Amino acid sequence: MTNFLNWLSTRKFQMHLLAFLLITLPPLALYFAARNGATGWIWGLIGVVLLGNLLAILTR
Amino acid sequence: MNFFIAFIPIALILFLMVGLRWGASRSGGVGYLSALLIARFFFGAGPELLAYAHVRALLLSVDVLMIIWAAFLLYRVADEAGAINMIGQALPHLTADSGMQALIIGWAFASFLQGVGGFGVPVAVIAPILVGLGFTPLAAVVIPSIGHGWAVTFGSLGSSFQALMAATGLPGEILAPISVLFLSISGLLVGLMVAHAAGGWKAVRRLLGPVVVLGTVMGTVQYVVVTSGFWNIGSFCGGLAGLLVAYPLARRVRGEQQDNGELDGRALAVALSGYGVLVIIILAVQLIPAIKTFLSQVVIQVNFPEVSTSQGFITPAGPGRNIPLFRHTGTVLAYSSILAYLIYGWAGLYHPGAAGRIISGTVRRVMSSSVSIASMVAMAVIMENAGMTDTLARGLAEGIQSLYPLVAPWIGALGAFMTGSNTNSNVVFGALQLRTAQLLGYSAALILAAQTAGAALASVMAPTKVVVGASTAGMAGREGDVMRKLVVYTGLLVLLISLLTIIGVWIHLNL
Repeated sequence: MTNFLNWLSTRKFQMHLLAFLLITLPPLALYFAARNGATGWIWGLIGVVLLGNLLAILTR
Repeated sequence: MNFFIAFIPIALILFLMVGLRWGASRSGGVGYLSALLIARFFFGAGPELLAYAHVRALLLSVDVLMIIWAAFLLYRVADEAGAINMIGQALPHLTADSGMQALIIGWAFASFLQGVGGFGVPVAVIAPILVGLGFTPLAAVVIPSIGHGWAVTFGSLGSSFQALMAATGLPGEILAPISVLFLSISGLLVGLMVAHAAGGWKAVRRLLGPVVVLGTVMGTVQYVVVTSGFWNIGSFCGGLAGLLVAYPLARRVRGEQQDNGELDGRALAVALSGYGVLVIIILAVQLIPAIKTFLSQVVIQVNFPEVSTSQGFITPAGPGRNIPLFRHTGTVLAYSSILAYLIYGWAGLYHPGAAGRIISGTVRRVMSSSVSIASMVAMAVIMENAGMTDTLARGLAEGIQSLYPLVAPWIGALGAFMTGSNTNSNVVFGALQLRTAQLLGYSAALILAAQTAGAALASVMAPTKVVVGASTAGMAGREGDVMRKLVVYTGLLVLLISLLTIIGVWIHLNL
């Protein structure tokens, strides 16, 4: 785990860029998923945003 | 119980940033996760509500990020040309007193920039200049953060005040006088705090005279302009008056002048031209109707349906944040950056490869801040749509009815802290504060003045704003240090508004 966290911190810019994309891109699709009542898609896309935030938390 | 549960995301962010010194990007992620889980499992937020909340958050984030990216781009354009250093070397010719430099740049100029600019612009532009003058990065962020807070409501060409009028349906003639009075009085305390942040109590004693003169001039000008109906240029005029008065004042407080050599006036003029272009473009866009109309043709606007939680909290249908693509403050900053680049290039100030270094430097520096803002704005919007923010405000108001005037500015402050802006706080809490004031029999104008003044002064320590300033002063990852410094100053300023509100209520009830 420590090795993984160190690996992330040595690639801070790339990880922040990836986290930013994971947090900001899904909402573009979330609007249409919500309009169509596609609950499965909604939770999946929110899951992607969640993943982006987790990545931000782990990147020291 | 719901009150304390709703407070958890805010408490976590404060604890992580201030207590454990986590960076904003990590703390924002924790805040988002906690808000999402609490909204879903304690406040009954369903998938549709959460989906639309994420979309609203994206619009708000883009609204903020456009300014951050472009403000930092302008800074890199100027810095690559050596303009920041040139400005830094010029000011000691006027005054070598660091406290006086802080008052001129961190207070008067910051207020002026807030008047003409918007979110985060004063701190993003001024922090690097103060670093160039020899201030520590922490002081360079804290000074303009404190220095511009009193100018927020009637800055950004009146957008926060406009939001208050829209949210309450009350005209400016009723809302403006007390609001601007509260903020103009707080301006004096702001000046003292800027002096303190620059040089401690010694600087406060030494600069008491200039602070009183500058504060009186700026506050009086803002008051006169706003109460004359020109609330959209209140802070602009106040800040401009401050800059004009600052020149003769600085000649009186020169400090220990060293032999700085001859001042190259032409080089200084070229160095300042990048920021001069910014002011000219902003004024042209905001005050010339033909230009404003032309640039307003493309607007990103998304309409949202009504959503509600399973506990009955309703978010009404309506549009999300409008983004006028070519008239947005961030776009205006981008225009200024391009023009500044051309001017500095024409003056021969760039080495080969400057454009590449500017762009790559900008992207690398703002990425961490961008993650922070995206997370924190998403947290704030989820809390708002799930009724968590409303729960917090009601808890504060209902828990202490007779002390409501004391609490009103803190509600505004809470909204600004959560959303990062005076405007958003006024939108979120304006109607709530009005209803509560009417129910409890207090003057609506007084309570709403407390709302917007508390929001303006506290907006400076919103995590999203702190991230902006920290990133331009090379303090990314140390936002907690900035917030720790700001929390005392900000708390005292909001407390001042509480006292002014209580005095106002007493006068209103006894006359």
